[in-house]
Amino acid sequence: MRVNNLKNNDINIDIAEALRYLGYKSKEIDDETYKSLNESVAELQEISELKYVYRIIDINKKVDNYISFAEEINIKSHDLANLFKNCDKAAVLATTIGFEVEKRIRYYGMTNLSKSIVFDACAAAYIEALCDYIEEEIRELAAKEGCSITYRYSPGYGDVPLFHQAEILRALNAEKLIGLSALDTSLLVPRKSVTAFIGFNKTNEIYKKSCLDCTFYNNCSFTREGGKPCAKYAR
Amino acid sequence: MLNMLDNNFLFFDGAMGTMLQQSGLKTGELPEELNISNPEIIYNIHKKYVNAGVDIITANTFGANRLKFKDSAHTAEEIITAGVRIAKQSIEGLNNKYVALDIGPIGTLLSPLGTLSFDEAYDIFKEQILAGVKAGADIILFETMTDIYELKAAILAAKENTHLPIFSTMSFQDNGRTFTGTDVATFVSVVEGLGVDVLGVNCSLGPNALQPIVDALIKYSSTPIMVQANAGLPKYKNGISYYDIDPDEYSHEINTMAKKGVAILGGCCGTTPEYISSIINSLDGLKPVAISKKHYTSTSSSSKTVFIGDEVKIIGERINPTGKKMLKEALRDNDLDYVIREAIAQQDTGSDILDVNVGLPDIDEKEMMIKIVTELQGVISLPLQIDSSNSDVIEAAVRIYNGKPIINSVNGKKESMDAILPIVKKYGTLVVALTLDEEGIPKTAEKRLAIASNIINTAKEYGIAEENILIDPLVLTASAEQAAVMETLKAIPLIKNKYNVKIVLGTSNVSFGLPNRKLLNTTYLSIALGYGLDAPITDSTNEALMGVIKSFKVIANQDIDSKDYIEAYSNVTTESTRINSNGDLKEIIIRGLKDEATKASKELLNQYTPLDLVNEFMIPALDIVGEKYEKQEIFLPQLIRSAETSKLVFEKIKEMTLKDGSEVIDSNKILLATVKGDIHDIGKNIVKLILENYGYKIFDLGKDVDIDQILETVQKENISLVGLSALMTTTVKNMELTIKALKATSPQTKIMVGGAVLTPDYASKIGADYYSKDARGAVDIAREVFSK
Repeated sequence: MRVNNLKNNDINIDIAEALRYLGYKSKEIDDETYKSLNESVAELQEISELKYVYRIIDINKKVDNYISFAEEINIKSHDLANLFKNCDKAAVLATTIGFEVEKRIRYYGMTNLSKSIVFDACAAAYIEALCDYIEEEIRELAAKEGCSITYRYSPGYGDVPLFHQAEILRALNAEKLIGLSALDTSLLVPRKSVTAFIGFNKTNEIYKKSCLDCTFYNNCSFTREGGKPCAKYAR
Repeated sequence: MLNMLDNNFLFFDGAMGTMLQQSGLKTGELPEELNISNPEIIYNIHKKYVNAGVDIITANTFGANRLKFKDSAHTAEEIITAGVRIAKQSIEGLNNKYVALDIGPIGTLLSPLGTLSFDEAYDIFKEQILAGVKAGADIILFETMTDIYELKAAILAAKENTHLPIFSTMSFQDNGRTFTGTDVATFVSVVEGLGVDVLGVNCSLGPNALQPIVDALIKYSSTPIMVQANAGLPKYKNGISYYDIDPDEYSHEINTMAKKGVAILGGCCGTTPEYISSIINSLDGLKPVAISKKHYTSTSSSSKTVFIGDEVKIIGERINPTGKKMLKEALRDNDLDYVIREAIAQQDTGSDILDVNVGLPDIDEKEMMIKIVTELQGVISLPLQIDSSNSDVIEAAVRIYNGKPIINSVNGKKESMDAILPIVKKYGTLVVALTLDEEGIPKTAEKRLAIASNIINTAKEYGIAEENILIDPLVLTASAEQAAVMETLKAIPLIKNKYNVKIVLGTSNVSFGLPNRKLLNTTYLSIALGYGLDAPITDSTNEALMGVIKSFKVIANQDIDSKDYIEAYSNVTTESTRINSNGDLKEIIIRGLKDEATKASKELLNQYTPLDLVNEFMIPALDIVGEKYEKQEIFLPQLIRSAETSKLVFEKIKEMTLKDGSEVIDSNKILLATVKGDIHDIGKNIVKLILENYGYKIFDLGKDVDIDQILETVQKENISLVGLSALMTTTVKNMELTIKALKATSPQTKIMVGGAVLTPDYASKIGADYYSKDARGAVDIAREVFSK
């Protein structure tokens, strides 16, 4: 198990990513939005608490539509069993940028709606960047064992039900270690948080997730050509 | 047992989870199940700690609450009964050994961060406490808490259902705050007020990293302190977690804490009987250092504590409907946004504490007070002063307040003291005491002192310390009682010389009935500050009054190096590049120039009627904005900025029509809510703003809204269009239930839905009349519904 706190400037917030969440299709940003973006980024870098915890866990059972992680997390899912078909172990992770961000989003939601959506988008970009950082750490661990890694897979993707968030949090002792818990509707609190699996692939297959794989493909306003998938579930 | 602390340390046991893992328990399992499935294993662990020499055994009941055990074969009560029984067995036949009922966090967060209500949390804790007391526990231990609001519910549940001693610890990070943002001063201020017997810190960090937290606890607490540190940081190897500090290093650090004044010691994650016996050995022959009594006058929100006395603190007075038409109207209309904006304006201009008074003859004051306090404490970080003449309203508000509030007020009448002082004691609040009694407001300073003395002494009989009392010597109006005006001020040093109380004073009444009130008010305020006023109750948005306070703080050496003063008055020129709009309202809206909206609309209202202003300027401007958005010439932040600008214009119109009593523009009503279980509200708020722009009157019930509340409001307000939002697949279920209930009770009401996971097909499947992908779509739907 690894628990870690990062310094806020260890991770950069990608403004282009935030703009994409805001629905910007053009490169031209008006002055006010630009100013608001920069203020939000600076504020987030100041108030966030970047925390994560993960465990490398054995996949002890895997059939066509069922997968079990050390008997602690048991999921009925064809999609995940299929993605992890060449994996004997996986990283299970939980990460958050903290409660102060949650409170600030609420604050701006009540006082300054235009600021709040910009701030929210920047926060989503931040947790996404944090996930990328953790993913790199896990990629190195996997490489030491001669494995590649699958892309990140979170409850709510494909046919994996959201309620598995709770099992993941329990398996990682996430409430105590990073202050992350879930509501009975499986919503993570603070909201700018992620739980996910990353498989260790023995065959060294290289994964590239495409928007075409996504269940929300026909109902998504964030799609784009190539690149990495959206952070819909990070929000 | 607590008397033992005079001569002895009290030792708690160490980790249960670590011991269980060593016995092969998996991380994902509920460890409390073992109380029934394998009691021997629990007994053996307790016994090892007993043999290590501990005084208090912690029953294996940490997570035994009805939420965590909802899918279990056993109830929380059964688990607790068994857990306490095993712990008692482990100390059977031994003297001076005790069993603590262990209660950790519920596991899901309270509103507004989560969805659990304060009352539900209280009930969950109450159930645990009753079961533990019945099973024979000696102590109630709340530990590893991270949310002070949840802890308040827990402590109240204990106080109201048992007389057992309450021990209470929170888990702090190395930044000195809990995960949800409570610092040590705030923790102490709140739980000491609520009357716990022992307070402290556990878990989260190793003992070395906890030293600064311990220092802060000792600085603020008058209550015995306990520490249960982790054995360093968690590591994981071969499926087993372990911690990186050994028993020697651990007990060395704990020894340092004991010498600083920590008297109750034990362990948390990673500690074993070895660690505990190492602590006990290292303290052999030593006695605890007694905790000194502190005398801070402090009031706290959940994340911030304000100390009154060292420097002038400002109590913002604006949330009080007396003489304020807009606020009255907002309260009657349930327009909480307006109240929140008033609060934020005061926070931004330098108020340290906010007074909240919602007393109006034609509203349910208690219901409104609870609603406003709940909303404000979710948004504002300043402590609140609960202001009402009704003790029921006061008690209801301070109970659900997330922190240590101030009560405004008690006075020298017996009836008032009988009603208010028990509330002050029970909830551990500060209280404003007015120097008036059955004979009214006295004429002299000496008589004010006499009334203050009477209140202070009566409060002491209730166990309320002097430092928790704020005396208000009551200003008199110069136009009516000029000869007595100075008496109020003379009373300040008289009272402060005799008692350790602080002084508050509302100052603006002095000028009532005289011209140039500003001049009198500022002069009076500056004299009052000179006489020793600690916390004026005043309007921080008033620059003249703030000027007096800021300059006083320089002169009184409170604003060190005149830092704040220089910052306020050195004429820093910023944002001089802002483009001027030439006052064209249409352009102002299209470009979203919020700063210029109010002024421009005020000028236009001299020439146009409100309706013409809307039809000739606002609607055309908004249509242009909408078109630009559709064409992707502008994007969401700009669209919203325009809408916010236009809303400011609307407000100016409303203010105008309220003032001259002319007809308010009649509008169609729409109810909006994020469904039960869901806490996402940005999308809903955008829809609300845009609909408001088109003149609809919005009843915004917020997020995580009970179905019943929606049904009631629809019927009471006769609402014909309801908009529901849900963002998660799991909460769309509640959307469907809400729609079903609405269709059954108000079949004529149309329902539109929106949210990330919805599609038009899905919307119609769950019974909605309309689906909208965005706010513009909602406007089209509203137009269609209301044109029929």
